[in-house]
Amino acid sequence: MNHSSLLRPLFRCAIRCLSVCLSLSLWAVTEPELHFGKPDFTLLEEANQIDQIYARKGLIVTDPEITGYVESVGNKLLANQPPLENVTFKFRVIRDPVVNAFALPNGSVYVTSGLIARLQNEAQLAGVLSHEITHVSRRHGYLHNRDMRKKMVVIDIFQGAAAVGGAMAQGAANASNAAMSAAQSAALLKQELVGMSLQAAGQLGQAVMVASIFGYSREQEREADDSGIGRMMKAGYDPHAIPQALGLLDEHLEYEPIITFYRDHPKISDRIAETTKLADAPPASVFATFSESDYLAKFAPVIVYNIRADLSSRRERTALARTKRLLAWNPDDLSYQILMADCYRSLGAKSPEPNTEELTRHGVAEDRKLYFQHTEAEEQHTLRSKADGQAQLKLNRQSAEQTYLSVISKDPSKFEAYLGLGFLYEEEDRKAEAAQQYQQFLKVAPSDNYQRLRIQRRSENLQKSLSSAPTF
Amino acid sequence: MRCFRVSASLALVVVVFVIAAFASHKNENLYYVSSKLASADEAIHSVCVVPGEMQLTKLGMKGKEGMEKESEEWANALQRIVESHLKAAQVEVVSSAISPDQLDANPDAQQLVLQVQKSYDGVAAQLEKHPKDIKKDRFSLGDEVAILPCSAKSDALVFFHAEGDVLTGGKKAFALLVKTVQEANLRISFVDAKTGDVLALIRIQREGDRFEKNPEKAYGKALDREFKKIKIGGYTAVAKKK
Repeated sequence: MNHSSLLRPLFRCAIRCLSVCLSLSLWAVTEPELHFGKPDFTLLEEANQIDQIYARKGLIVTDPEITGYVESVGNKLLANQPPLENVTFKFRVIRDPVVNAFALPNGSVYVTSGLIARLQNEAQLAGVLSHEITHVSRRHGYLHNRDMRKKMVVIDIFQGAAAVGGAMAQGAANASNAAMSAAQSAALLKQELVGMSLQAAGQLGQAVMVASIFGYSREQEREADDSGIGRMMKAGYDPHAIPQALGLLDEHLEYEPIITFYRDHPKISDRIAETTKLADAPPASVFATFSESDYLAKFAPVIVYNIRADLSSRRERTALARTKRLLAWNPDDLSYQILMADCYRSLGAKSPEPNTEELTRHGVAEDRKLYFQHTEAEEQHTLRSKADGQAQLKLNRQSAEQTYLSVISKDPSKFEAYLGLGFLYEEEDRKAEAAQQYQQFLKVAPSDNYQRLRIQRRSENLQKSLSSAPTF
Repeated sequence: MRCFRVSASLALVVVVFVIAAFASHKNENLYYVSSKLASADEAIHSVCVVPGEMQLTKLGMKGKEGMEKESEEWANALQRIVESHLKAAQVEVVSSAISPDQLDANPDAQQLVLQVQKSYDGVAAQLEKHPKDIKKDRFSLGDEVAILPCSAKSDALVFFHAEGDVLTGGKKAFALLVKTVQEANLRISFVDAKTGDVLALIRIQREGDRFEKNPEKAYGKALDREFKKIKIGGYTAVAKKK
């Protein structure tokens, strides 16, 4: 063995270490120093109030195992973070089916149950958290607030001048358009169907707070992506998890009433390309790997909650996709099977996946129309009026019925299956069978089950209509 | 003489602005009733009040700011006023065990309330856009509302929402130039406690500063009038079910 063959691996290793150190030093930008003024303290106070509102409304997931896990991932990312004035980092999961994550200026980082249900492993979660930590450490909330306040004064002056001058109004409007985007986001809260976290935050007036949930400026978001990659590497996570997570979010199963930063801003494909380029700089082999099954084992209760929330928010396709994922991980779990049957029943005349026409611009516009102009019942009625809608309805109902019956045959104590089957039969106008399933539910379900009153009423109504029906 | 003309025209401009600003103040009450309630097929003699969403916002020259403490006081005052005027209309307000304090101690009940509030939010956008469709019985939360324990003892669930903008001193002065008004909107929805159908919606808009300083004076009479119009409690033709 000659000297050169001995030295070569050592040399390679040294180069590799040097490249990692160089990359890390590139990201090690010092945090900007912020001298707190009155508006900053007001914003800080509002951020603390939002935390309280979320807690008071029961929106925060309080399961200690889940909270502890998210905290541990967040704290790993904070290992080299110098203390920041007026910041206490907290990492929480919030009950909201909208796919999003956001950070408040006081250091509270929230990941929605919708996003948790979408991610695949711990590294991807770390990617999301490291992005949000950067928003806090670089004081994006405060900077955005100061910027907004200046713009608001300019807007007021222009409005005043326009009121006097009349003709200046158009110019003023153009000048203020950019500044108004956050305010428009706040206005959106009052008009459209939005996520629980956004609604609760929208109760506080600060448009900047709403902006911090919807997303900051392009530059600030890019900075958070870049810095997030550095932070992940320092904590030992593979930075490729960031583009992977972004790729997962580019999903179009149904119409989304809210497009948060995580779905659109800047265009997700650009962000995937940029973050992949940055993540490619260091060698991937030095990072630990994280499995999907470990992730699902930790977050299954949150995902189940989110599937239920999706079902009550007209996102049946998303609910079904997430349920299938849980079933692929644990096919024998009967509660997941019941959940899948519920998804098929809720789909009604809707197909489990969008067809090619729905993905076109016209299709998306049609979906939007159905979503905003029609109630859920009216949307189903429209779909059922078409032949393919009828066929789909039949298929979905068959899938639901078979799954419910299969669960009952395996475990007759699963009262949720009787409930679903009762609903299904009632929808199909199979009154006697529906009444029988409701009776079975009332027999098997615990005495304190919150659905009892509802089912008792349904059962009584069915009995009445059956006894009053003419017999031949 | 010329100086007098200039100052006179300036004074005139100011007077016009002031008059325009005051003349634009309007208080509005609207109500929408479903056919079931209008035809007395359904009657509301008892209600369960779901925790409301109420918020005051400070509107200044540099944008909006929250008013958490004032909002809480306002919310408590509004809740008391709505409940007392419901009682005055001979509507029984069922003790619901879902007041905010009670919910803090009962996370399970809190999740049920959240679920029902979410159902309401699901129809709220369309309800706000097309309130006249209430008459056509278009909106329903579904019989899932029965998951709230208080729905067993009540004819209707009451959801109420209110938002108010409070202008700062600077903004008030500026409001003379640019039409910015201090206003608050109160919306009260009555939802059938059994079927989840939206039975009635009342909207009360108030401008000026009375809604914050003296909510009873701002809303009291309007609530009595609207409750009478939608025919609930003592105003309904249908006798209380036993």
